[in-house]
Amino acid sequence: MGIQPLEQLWQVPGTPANQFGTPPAGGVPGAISRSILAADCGSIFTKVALLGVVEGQYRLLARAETPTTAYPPYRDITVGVLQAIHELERIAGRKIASRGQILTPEQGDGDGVDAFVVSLSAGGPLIVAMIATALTSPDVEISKDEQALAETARRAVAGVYADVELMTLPPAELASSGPNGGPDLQWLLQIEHLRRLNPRALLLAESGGTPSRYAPEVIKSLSLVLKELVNSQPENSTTAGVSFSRATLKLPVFHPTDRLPIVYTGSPEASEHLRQELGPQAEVRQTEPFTPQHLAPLSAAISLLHERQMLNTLAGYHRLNGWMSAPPMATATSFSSLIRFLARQYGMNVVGVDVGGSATSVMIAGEHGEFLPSVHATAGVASGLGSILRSVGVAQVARWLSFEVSEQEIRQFVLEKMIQPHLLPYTERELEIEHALTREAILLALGQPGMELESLPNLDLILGAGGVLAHVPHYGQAALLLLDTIQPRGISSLVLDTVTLAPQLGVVAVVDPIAAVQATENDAVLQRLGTVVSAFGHAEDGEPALRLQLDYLDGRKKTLEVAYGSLEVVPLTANEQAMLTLFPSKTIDVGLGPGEQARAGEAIEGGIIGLIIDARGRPLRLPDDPTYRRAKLAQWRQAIGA
Amino acid sequence: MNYPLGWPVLPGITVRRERRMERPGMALVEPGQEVQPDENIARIAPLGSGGVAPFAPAWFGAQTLRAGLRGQVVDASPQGVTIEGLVAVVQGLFGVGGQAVGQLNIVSKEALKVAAELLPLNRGVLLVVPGRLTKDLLLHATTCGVAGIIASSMEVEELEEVLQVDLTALLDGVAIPENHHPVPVLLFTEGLGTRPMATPTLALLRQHGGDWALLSGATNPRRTQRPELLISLPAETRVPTVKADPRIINGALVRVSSGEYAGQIGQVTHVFQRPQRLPSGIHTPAVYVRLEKGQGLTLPIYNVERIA
Repeated sequence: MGIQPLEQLWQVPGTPANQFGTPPAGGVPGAISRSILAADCGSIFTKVALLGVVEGQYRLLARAETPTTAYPPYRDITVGVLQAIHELERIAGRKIASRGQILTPEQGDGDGVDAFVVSLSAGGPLIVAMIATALTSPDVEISKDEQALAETARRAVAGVYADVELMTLPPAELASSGPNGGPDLQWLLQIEHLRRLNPRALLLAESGGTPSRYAPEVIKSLSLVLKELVNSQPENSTTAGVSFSRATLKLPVFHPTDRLPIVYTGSPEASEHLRQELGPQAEVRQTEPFTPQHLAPLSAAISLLHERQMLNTLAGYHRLNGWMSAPPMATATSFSSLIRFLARQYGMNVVGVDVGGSATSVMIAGEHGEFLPSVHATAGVASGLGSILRSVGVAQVARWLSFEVSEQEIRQFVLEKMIQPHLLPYTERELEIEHALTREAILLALGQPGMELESLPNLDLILGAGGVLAHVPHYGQAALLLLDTIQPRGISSLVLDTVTLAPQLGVVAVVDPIAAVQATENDAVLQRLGTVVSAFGHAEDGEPALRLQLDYLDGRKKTLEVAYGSLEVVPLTANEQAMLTLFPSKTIDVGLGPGEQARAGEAIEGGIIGLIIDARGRPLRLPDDPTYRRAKLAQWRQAIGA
Repeated sequence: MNYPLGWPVLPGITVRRERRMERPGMALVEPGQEVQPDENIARIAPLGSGGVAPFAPAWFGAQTLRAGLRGQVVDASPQGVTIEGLVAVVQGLFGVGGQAVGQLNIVSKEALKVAAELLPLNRGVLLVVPGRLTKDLLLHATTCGVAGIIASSMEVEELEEVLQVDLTALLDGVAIPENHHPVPVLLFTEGLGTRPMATPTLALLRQHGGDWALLSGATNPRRTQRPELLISLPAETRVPTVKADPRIINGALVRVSSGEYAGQIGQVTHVFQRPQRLPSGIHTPAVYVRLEKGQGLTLPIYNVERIA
């Protein structure tokens, strides 16, 4: 991802940050603007948020969301942005857009805004086909070395809306070994396979040594394949003023004059040779070889290509770009910069989870600058549901449900939501299935190559974001979703971005760091769900796991015994604080080692849910017996108010 | 938001579509030329090894390409021919396959009561099934050489069994049907499951029995690409000019998209200014819909689709 230096995005309050001149009258000291409009164009919904100054502090004034309109019937992403703005105007009672334009700067009567920024996850992932060195049919197993290299490439792009697929090419002679000198059926099938994958970039992965891993016959085959792929006409035809996708098989959207980007990790000399061999269909971009310890150059190259190939080609993008006060940012990049800011600013280990319609991001940042980004580019809770189901299977989804369900019902639910991504769960049953799939989406993102949650043993803050988490009917549902998947150890705070603002704040920081900082503190991480104590170790279900003592600052005391395998909530509201002392059993750990007592150095804070004691063990194991499992699930839900 | 043209059914609209040759061929027509739907407009080079590919029957193996549309050629090249013409449109929620051209054959509801294999079906037609498509009927249609089928819906497992593909993988573009017999191009107006065909859709299809049409099964919901049936209309046909506005507003005729009332039609009688609470507990922008049968429902604005 554009893993940009944090200092370039978030200037700590008090440091010179103003790149746009002096603050306007009525603004916050040190801030650049009086009002900022931030839009986040997701794959399904477009969210807009209006930030303004209230009593000397930046606050979220209003927000609205409408469906994203990058595709037919509107085929213009700005239509959805304007629709959301009109809804926001109604809520906020001020004019922000006029005659299809954003009013900037803020007018004397309060209309308009000083800045407009955009984050984007619409457009889908950049599919990168990594070309294998062996010429073979797709059915033949690819060597383990090759698969390991592809896995490393996946780690490199883990923080980008991109997916790496390892592909083999057919031998070049098959292009003309059919009757009458035409292509062989095997050639056509493999080309069709590549077309269906719809790659928008190729990766030729050299390991850094010589000679090249790619034999001349592979390059010859690639040259022929490129002609087939790039000569595919764009899918568009038009109807009564509405552009429309061509109604045939899905083909890459390349114009005949386009060149397919090829990221090549070999030497500059070899890269030049490749350019000559592949001809005008290829745009060879040379970058450094990658290893598990050296991923940044490949990550940066793919991030740039995502912006160019996916974001820049969105319908209406250039009009939207004309409104912006700063370059747009991929939503995952924006979100990750918020998480890194929180870790640095408050000296904490932070994990942020953003569950979207087509992708799921988990960003982990440590107080010492550690950063583990993971974007699962195809696992989401709308169009991304098929990818989840294929990855984990029906049983993994069904294990989270408190009712019996057939495979047919799960598949029907998934397909219906894939076909109509805007649908909302209407019944409690549908909602529970959606939440089960959400858990698996987060677990898939956590399971991406390079994600080592254990490297940050104490997660101080867990931030949940994205529509499915923000719109839960009961906060306990969001808390349980995060606990079931992140499975923290020790003491952590749970925070929910109920206003769907967090993923936009990284891009807000580009134009006004102080506004971003204040909006983060005042609104994005305002909805504290509570403090959670996660106990782990070895014990039988029902055995005592720990005893806790809570000394409220108003003098009240409370003690509680918690059994292993259970989840308990102790009342501690958002306005209350208490000193916490934990007495774990000999084999139970609350973060300091088995049996080690813990007393919080400072008072812990409450939240909407309260103090949550998660004594279900780590890793969380659901009972195998379906009846017992459902009983436990119901028990945990009841305890946490889900 | 589900339909590229705004509404699922349009009685008349001018469209421009490309009839693409997947292998280079020779166009038999020129720009400006008037064509009929059953007219050959291109000749395609034969497939190399002569094998029959297990998918996309509309382009593998075909030696000539028919226009599918009545109208004027606007572009012709070795890759394809683009035609503009006046059509009635039915857009579906889910489909399978490429393009197919044929005459519409309407199956009566009575005919559906007999065993599928007893139904006399003509080769090369586009079959309209006024309800759910069964596995038996699909297999029988495949055997008879039916070019395409328009039905209301089909159960997931039956369709997966016939196509031998995971439909989620098909929708994501990472798998293709693995059955060895070319299956007709499919369009399901109501998607997957057992839903009946909406009355306005069925009414329009019944008006056009015997007419030539171009069917496309291509579906990519991420990009609002939906299967479509384009029924060619005579050039002199007068159709009312309607702007197919997909917005859900007061008075709009809508169809319920999911849940117990999926497929039912009603009229929006109120758009709530504030989010409403659903039975699932979610608060969301909502509308009040009066169904045809008189029942009133509060529904999420995203769970209804405008049809007129």
